[in-house]
Amino acid sequence: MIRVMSVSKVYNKGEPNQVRAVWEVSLHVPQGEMAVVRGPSGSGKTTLLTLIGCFARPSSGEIQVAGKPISRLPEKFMTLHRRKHVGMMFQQFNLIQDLSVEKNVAIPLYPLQLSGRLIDERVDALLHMVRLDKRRAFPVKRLSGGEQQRVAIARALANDPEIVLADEPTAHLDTALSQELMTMLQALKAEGRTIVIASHDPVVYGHPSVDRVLTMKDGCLSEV
Amino acid sequence: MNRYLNLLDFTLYSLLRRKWKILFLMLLFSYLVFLFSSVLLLTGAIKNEAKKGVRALPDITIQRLTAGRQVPIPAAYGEKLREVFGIEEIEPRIWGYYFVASTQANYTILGYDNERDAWKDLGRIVLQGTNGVSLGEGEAILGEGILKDRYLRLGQTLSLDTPSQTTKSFQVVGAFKGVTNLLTYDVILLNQRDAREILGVEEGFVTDFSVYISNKNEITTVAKKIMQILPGTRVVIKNQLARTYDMVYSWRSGFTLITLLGCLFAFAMMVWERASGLSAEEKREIGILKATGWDTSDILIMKSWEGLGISFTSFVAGLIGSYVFTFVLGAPLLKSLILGWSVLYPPFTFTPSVSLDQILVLLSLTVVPYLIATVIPSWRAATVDPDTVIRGV
Repeated sequence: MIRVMSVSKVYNKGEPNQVRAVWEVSLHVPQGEMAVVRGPSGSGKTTLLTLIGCFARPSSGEIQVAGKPISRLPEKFMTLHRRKHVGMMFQQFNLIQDLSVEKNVAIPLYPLQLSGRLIDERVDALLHMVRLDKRRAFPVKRLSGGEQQRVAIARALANDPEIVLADEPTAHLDTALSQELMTMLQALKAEGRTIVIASHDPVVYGHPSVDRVLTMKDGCLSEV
Repeated sequence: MNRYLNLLDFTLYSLLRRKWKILFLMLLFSYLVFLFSSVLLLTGAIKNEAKKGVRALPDITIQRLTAGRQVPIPAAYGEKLREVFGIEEIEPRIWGYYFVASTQANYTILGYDNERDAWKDLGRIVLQGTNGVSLGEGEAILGEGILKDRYLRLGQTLSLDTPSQTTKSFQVVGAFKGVTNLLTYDVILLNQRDAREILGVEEGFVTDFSVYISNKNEITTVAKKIMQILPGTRVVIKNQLARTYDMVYSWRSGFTLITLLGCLFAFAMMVWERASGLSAEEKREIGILKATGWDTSDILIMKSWEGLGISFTSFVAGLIGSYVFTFVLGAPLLKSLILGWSVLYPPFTFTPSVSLDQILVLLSLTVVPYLIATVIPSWRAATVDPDTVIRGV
């Protein structure tokens, strides 16, 4: 499903503050697999996820999704790729705080050619799945950290993606909520979605549903 | 279509989040449009009224100047004028201004010639006292402003001073109809003999000549001929007067607009502040939208609607406000500023008219810059890699 071939990402290339965030990384994640990339802060985990999710282009190397190269696509097609295939859970949730729960979840659906009724139905189903039906009209800023995480999950799944990327998904959750989240991701995996998680939380990489654990250090990847 | 409806839905919802800020912005915007459009509408309306007044003027007016000052012109000049080919009618006129120190008002005294055909329509514009119309000695027809200024009613007596310091009384036998206020508000119509006495115009002289030309394309040519046969006279063409009125009101309106430049400057500062960059929160929102699958064009559509919604609604509100202010309320305060010095302002209401030019000028000064200031920074933010959002920048 996801094939990363000798990918590097260098920020501020050629300048004194040059950073090698990802260096010569190769990786293959088959469809329906759950892979965890662990490593200390600043090791390049998030950058690797952004490259896989088409949020940024690699400085060198190639990334393929379902056999198609995506890393050199023009901006418009990168957006289309994200819209169709990728759901991303950000470390900081990246929710719009004064928008309601339902509007936040519906954000990825607005640019699509869906009727308002279909969007409502999809949002209903997602909120039901993350058990936030009763918080539908609440502004996100009034929710707890755990609830905000669930809104972020619902939003990541709004476009029914084949690939789910999660960046430190348990960073703001206690152990119980982290377990709950992993159960939710396990269910997504069972639906055949490919999941890549960046985390250094043992609750995540030690979870039985995780197929592979990879370690990143100074931008380089090694399999555990 | 669904995409546009969804984006519109999101835009409206997004605006509602900041309703107080948006409301304040819209009030400010509307007020600015209101100020500028009021000046433009009022100036346009006054110019229109002035044009109507100019249309009633003769094609050519001939005055006599001595040492640059207007003095009575010999009535015999009328005979010389008859020699000029192309003149349809010559009307000698007795008229002048009468200053009243107590009210600081200027009245316009017109001498009425009972015999002249041109005056026969007068009956249609006089309310009462019409008998044909002819004005006998010691009789006067007054404009509404005079009646108010002197607290007079029909049948009462108006006293005016002659140049020889004697006082002459006139019975008010008629009043001009309100619809003619723009032209007649400060007018006192007297018998020609009485007018001569009050204005000090001796027999054998008149104030000026009104000349009507049969072929309107020949007005300038005829005016040149008149200047040749009557040296020392000033020949005023109707179009020159129209241009003068236009210039005077444009100047006054320009002066008023200059005083409003402060508002425009404040608005420009606000627009510049917006154009020079979005807030961190706005950039973050745009980044989130991009990261969740929004295209740059989706963001631009949303931001354009947002800018258009705010600016156009405010623009329409300001324009409607100024229309009501100018054409319904009669532009209180502002009218005095633009109309000029006269104390007896005619209480006429302006004929409502809004030209496309005026709207385009206002749009280009307000809506267009605001729209640019909304869309350009959003476009700049929307072309940034969503990667920056993920990093919490």
